[in-house]
Amino acid sequence: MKKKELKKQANGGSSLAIIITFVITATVIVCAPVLSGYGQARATPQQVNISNYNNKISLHNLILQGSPMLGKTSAPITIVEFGDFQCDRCARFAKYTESQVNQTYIQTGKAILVFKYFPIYGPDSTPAAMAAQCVNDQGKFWNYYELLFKNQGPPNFGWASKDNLKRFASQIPEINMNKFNSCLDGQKYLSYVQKDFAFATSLGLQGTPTFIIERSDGSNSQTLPGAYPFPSFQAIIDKELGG
Amino acid sequence: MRRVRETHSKSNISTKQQSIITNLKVTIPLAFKMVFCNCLYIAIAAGVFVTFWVIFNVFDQLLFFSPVVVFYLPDDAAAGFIITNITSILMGILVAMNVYVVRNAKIRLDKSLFSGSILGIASSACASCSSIGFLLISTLGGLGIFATDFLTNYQTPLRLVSIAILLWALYSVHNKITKPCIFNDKYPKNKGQQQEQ
Repeated sequence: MKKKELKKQANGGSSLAIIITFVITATVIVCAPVLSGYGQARATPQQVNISNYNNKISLHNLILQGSPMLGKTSAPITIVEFGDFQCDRCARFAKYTESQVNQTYIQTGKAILVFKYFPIYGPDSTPAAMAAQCVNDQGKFWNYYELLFKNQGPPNFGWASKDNLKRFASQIPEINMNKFNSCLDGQKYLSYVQKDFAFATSLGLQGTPTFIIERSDGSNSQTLPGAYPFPSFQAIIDKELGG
Repeated sequence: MRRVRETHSKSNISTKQQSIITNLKVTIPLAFKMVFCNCLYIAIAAGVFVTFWVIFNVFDQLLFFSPVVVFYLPDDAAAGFIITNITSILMGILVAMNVYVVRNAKIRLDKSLFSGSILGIASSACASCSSIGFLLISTLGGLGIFATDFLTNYQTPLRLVSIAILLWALYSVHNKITKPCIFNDKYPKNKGQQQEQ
């Protein structure tokens, strides 16, 4: 009798364990793309959100806002990057994917890359963004973008201190350091960076890097929330160009 | 006299260590043979491995499902990728072994399995880059920034700690599987048998 009970209990426990294992497995497989924020399920509401803002994200508006740009303004496709200079995934995009996108679509005049500041990593993110916008005044933003991501350290551990930001800027050829220093010290672009942050949150963006790929009039926008590799960009841009 | 005692205790420790190592050399393969001779446990291990491999690589932004399914491995992610693979393999083995233990020995699932897996997942998810990080920052303010900084900066050590916990869990679960097979002379009945012999 006792043996039977024990066996029954053991069988019950084992089947429960197996059920738990498979439920976890199935849940994770189904939910992984959605939970991580990379699935299409998340991209769709963001598309709706963006179109609700009357094409605030159109290239024309981005030019008016004075955002840093790479490429020809006549390009049919606009890629908007929302990034933080302290984000390691943004650095991954800058190091591995940006060059491929640049070579394939920007140099050929098919797309233009626009950078928007989304400083979410803490106290050192905003000064880094302000410094980058100060460099943009002198038309050297993309040199600085490359330099910052190349020299990126752990977030808020001092690599993006004011002194270091000035040191990085001094490495850019033909930069006017007096102009840069007065711009950074005077916090000329603090409100500008804050506006970019508010703009990103108003679009419902939740992390960095986030890319919005759209036709330059602001229509057909698609969101890539994360450091997606080149084939993902290629799939969207080629489809847009073909359509 | 003191020196003699010290050398005695040292030699005792080294012989103990040697006996533990020789024991492990026998019991670990034995535990593996006992569990994985059944296809069900191989299937469970494979299922759990694949699941965790997918989770880790999605969180690490190496595996993407949309707009096209892509896996890529940039240089900066290579070390993390190796660590997550080890974690996924250990998770697969451990879950299969724990299911075996539950089915055969009526013992509750090992707590270390859960602590190891939770830590492994938590540390692998780079909170700062995902929406979790943003939510932490926006809801907890300064504390959230500290939490995400901690997760980002100590991601690799946390993952190594999770591997250590999983290895410890593996050791304890293998003990549960093989213990009934080892002759224990401290057990009163066995003591009697030895004396008779």
